Amino acid sequence: MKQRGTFETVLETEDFEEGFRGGESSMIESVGTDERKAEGKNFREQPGLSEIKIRAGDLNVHYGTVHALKRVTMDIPKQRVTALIGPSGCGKSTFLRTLNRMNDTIPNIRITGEVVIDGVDIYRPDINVVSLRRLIGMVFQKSNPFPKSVFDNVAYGLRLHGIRDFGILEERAEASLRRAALWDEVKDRLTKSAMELSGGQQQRLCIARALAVNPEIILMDEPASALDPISTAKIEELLHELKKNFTIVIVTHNMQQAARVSDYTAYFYLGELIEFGETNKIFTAPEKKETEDYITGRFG
Amino acid sequence: MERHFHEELKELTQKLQQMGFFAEAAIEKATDGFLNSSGALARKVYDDENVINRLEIEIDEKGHNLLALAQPVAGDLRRVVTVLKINTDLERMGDHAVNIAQKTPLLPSELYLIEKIPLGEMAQTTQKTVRAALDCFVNGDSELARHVLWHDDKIDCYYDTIYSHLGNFMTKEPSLIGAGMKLVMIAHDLERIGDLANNIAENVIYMLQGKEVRHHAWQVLR
Ligand SMILES: Nc1ncnc2c1ncn2[C@@H]1O[C@H](COP(=O)(O)OP(=O)(O)OP(=O)(O)O)[C@@H](O)[C@H]1O
Ligand SMILES: [Mg+2]
Repeated sequence: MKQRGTFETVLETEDFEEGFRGGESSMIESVGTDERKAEGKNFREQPGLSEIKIRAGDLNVHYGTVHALKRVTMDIPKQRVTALIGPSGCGKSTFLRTLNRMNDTIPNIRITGEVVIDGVDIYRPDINVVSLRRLIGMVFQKSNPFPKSVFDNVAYGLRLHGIRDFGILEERAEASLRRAALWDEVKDRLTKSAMELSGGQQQRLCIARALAVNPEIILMDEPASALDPISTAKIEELLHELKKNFTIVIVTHNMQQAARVSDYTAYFYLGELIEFGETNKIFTAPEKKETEDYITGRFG
Repeated sequence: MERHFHEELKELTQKLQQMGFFAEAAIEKATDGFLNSSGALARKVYDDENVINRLEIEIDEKGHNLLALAQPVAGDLRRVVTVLKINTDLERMGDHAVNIAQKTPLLPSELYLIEKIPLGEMAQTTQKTVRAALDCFVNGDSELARHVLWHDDKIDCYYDTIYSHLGNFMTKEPSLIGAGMKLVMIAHDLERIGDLANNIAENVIYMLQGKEVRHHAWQVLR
């Protein structure tokens, strides 16, 4: 019997319980396993991996005729930082967006394969995407605070999920700002516009906003690429704290950053997952020559 | 801002410190065992040696990971590199301790010769030198480096004395050649340990001050 995690609870509260129980989940798990074996590149259940939060299986993404993600199979461990690296256009952002179905609205996109989170395939037709996104926060390269007060930015997601009690909002907002290592810098200006914050502060505000609704997974697409070294270091330290409670997947162009912040690293090239493993290993003795060439700057 | 990297650097430093304790203990057991002709004491060196070998690999791995993952600079970089060098020095010290332990217990002819040379004093000074070198690292005290250099000079003098004494004995009494050779080798192990302690002190000065004093430490420190 599989353990029932929060994702299954989401299904239940959304009245999708029906059809979930029974033999279906075991059926989902076995989809395409044999084909993957035949293909070779299988980064599933590597020795030493801790508990798995997200399993991508045989994942393909086509944008029209562009095959942007090619048969990616990869297990992302729980409460660890996993970094996605690779040259521009290799599919990092595409992969990241498949994890919370942010790709869904792109015209002409075709996604096949599976993304299984806590045992539930999030591409099943009965998944409630809004609830899914509550459990998966996202932070982008360009900080995108709303043109509202600092407080309202953090409270936004909570209100969206029906919380009206000001006491609770205040409490949760403070907790999130603290977790995002921003509280001390903004506690006296909560009612001021978020647009008055520095770039680094805005980015941490976006992280606080993502944290406020209590997600389990945080996806970050180059969250520090527009920041100065001090703000970058703050965000990197923050990741180290956050992984105690959250599963984090981060795309970064900065290899040194991937080395510093992540526990696992995935190297993508031309839509393929070339190598995936412990960051220690990847940055001291990678398995593949392609990975070595890329991280040592011999690429291209 | 506190960086968790600094926490890891502290752990690396502590691991090396721990290895230093074992190296010190191994040298002490080896020399005491030899001088008292106690095979039982000498055999304990192997336990220390096992720990030292394990720590050497752990420190190497951790140091390499920190270099690759955290990209330390300035004082942090010097510290990681210094730890890696001292790591090798301490492991070599462990090997010399084993060399000495392997020659225990003593034969009667060796017991006879050992009375005639200052090997006990040399061993004492060697232990002090190693202690000073490790204190130098642990306390971040480059002043202590002077003591290391000074003790090491004394060790070299003992070595020269022992070498020429034993040479004389062996020339006069060829039946003592076997015993004499063995004692020369012991003295040589101690002399090498002193050199390694010297390396440690020089590396600590580099770590602390960013100053290169290898091969001319005396000029710099005096
Ligand atoms: N919305 C889209 N419509 C069409 N093609 C797209 C779209 N998004 C990405 N692509 C294509 O998919 C491929 C992968 O792009 P993706 O943005 O995932 O790369 P990336 O690794 O994140 O690159 P970068 O490092 O530059 O951000 C590229 O060839 C890109 O042109
Ligand atoms: Mg991208």
